[in-house]
Amino acid sequence: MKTISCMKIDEKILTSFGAEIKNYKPKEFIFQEGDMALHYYQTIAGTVKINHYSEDGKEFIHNILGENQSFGDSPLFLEKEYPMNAVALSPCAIYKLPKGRFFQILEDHPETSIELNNCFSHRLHYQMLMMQNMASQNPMMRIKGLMDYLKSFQEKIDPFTFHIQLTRQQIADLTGLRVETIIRTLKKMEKENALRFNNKQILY
Amino acid sequence: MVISEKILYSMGADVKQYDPTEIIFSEGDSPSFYYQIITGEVKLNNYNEDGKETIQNLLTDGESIGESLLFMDKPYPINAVTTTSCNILKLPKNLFMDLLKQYPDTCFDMNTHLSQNLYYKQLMAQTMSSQNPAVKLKTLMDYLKSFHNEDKPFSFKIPLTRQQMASLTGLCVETVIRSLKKMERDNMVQIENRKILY
Repeated sequence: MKTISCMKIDEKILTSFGAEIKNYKPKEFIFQEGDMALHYYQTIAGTVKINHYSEDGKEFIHNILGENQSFGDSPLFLEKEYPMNAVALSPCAIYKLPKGRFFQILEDHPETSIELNNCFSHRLHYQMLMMQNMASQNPMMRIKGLMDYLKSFQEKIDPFTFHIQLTRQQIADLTGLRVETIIRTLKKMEKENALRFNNKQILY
Repeated sequence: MVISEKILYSMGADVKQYDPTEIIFSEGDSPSFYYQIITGEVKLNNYNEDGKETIQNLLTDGESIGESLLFMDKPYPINAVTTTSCNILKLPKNLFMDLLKQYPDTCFDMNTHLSQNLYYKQLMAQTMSSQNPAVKLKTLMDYLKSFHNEDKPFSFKIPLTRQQMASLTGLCVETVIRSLKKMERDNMVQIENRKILY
């Protein structure tokens, strides 16, 4: 499933600038909130979760990434610490490139810089839509906002053709709702024919 | 300033004047121009189905308006409305794309600019899920203050009304008023003549 990130630098370019391949075990941190942003990361295989824990320990998921997606790149431009964690959800192989060399790629390959603008814009677009949804007190609006967003990258727009590949817990953490609310609201949406279930899978 | 005005003029940008509360673009419009404010103030907002306003951002001199949508094939998810009289530079999308190709430094600056927007949007999203109104207000005020050079406490006057703060954080205005009073007692803000100093 395509999610929010969209940057993929050509592997030949990454390797020629000295990117290393690092392997991570499930649940291993790739970076943690408070670490200085010093590397560009791009997944080769595996799934990575970008999240944050509030003071009371509640998880907020920013993004879940699959193959060939960059992450943790925007703080490289800001000389700031990461405001979130990146955690491997499955065994992962990830390209890791020092910040200075990443900037060198942007200089030597200006099309990468243009592509990066596209990527950041996609993420901002997601943030704008989610912000709008999060301001809603209505859980159905929040869930529908998330699913519309994810589906907007699909070719097929017919109802019930898109399989939401997220767990109930992940939907809760992406929308700032409780998992019980998600379960209840999804059932209500099924009754109203806004989605269908197939073996616990959500078809939207 | 996001992009040097000289470069924008050299690529063929025009200046357009707007009255207060005039719409620059509406939710659902196709993005076809790069906009940069010379002088004035603009707000980006949405209305939900009950007519409640969410302010996504407040922009002023030198800032660009909704530029991220030029990089995507999607309609604007927001409205841009002037809150004061404005002079705004307007450059057609195709010329804006040529500009980024011709000026790699500007393209890199745009990477940084979008990163900055994204960084704070993510912080806001993170706290929007928090149930604590003081946490939401603090994130908003930290964000606004980050554009300000002075970082001493109470040196920054929050340029927003209570209602705008409510619309930016998804809180009710009564909650904002109550939380600000509590934050004043906790010595996190000072309130002088209804003005909020942070």
